[in-house]
Amino acid sequence: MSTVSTDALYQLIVTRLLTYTDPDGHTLAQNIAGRLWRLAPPDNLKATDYPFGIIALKSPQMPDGSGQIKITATLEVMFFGRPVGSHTAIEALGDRAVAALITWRDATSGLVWIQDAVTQSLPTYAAPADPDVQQVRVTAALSCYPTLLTRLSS
Amino acid sequence: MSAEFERFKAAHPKAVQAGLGAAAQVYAKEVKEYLKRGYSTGDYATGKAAESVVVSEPFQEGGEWCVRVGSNDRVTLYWEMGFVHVGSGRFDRVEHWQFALDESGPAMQTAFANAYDAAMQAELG
Repeated sequence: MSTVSTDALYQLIVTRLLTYTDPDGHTLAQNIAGRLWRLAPPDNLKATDYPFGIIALKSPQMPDGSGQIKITATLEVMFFGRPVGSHTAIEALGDRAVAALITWRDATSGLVWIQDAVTQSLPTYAAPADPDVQQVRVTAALSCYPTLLTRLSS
Repeated sequence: MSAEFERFKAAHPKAVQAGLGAAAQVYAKEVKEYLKRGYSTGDYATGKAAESVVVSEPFQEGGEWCVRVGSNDRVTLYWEMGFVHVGSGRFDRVEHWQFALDESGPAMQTAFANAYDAAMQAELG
């Protein structure tokens, strides 16, 4: 685990999200197994793929005054579940992700930390979107002093 | 406090509103350009999404001046946040609003600064 590349940073975050154990003893991995995909899920989703999550690092920047050794980005984790009655369970995934992120500081290789993590339920969509799918969006501010990483994708 | 400071203090909120309005127009123009391209192939772009872009008047929230650029066309929300197509199970997402914001940041700052300066000069001479 390291911050040596964009890929490594994604792996670091995914591992934190999936393995964090909340005060009730639950982990995200218990609910979504390894279905926390980068940017998009696989094509032709099946009923058995739910619930799942998508993770993305957005708007990467090197803030003024950081000497170009610090990177900031918006971390987004979107959870999808179905059917409609699953909304409470999907919201719980968002809560667990927020808890995993706001309690996280990683200095094993470079330094990564999270601030301002929040979760938000999106309204139920209508056609052409599947109205049975429930979405919960988690966003957070990621800061990183990477070991070598100089850019982030997407 | 000096009279000069009082004049500045009185002019500042109006200038901030002018700056926000100018910055919002820059962003709205940029996001409209993105939306005109449509989603995926663009073959089904009707211009409806671009026409739906609205800019609010500046308003105060939590003690800060804000302006809102958005749309009441729900389909723009689906594409921006991503959605699963009913039936096919295919996932789609095209973040026009985010990319437009990322790209127009410097131009928005310039528009804000210019409008703010102009409003302050008009008020203070």
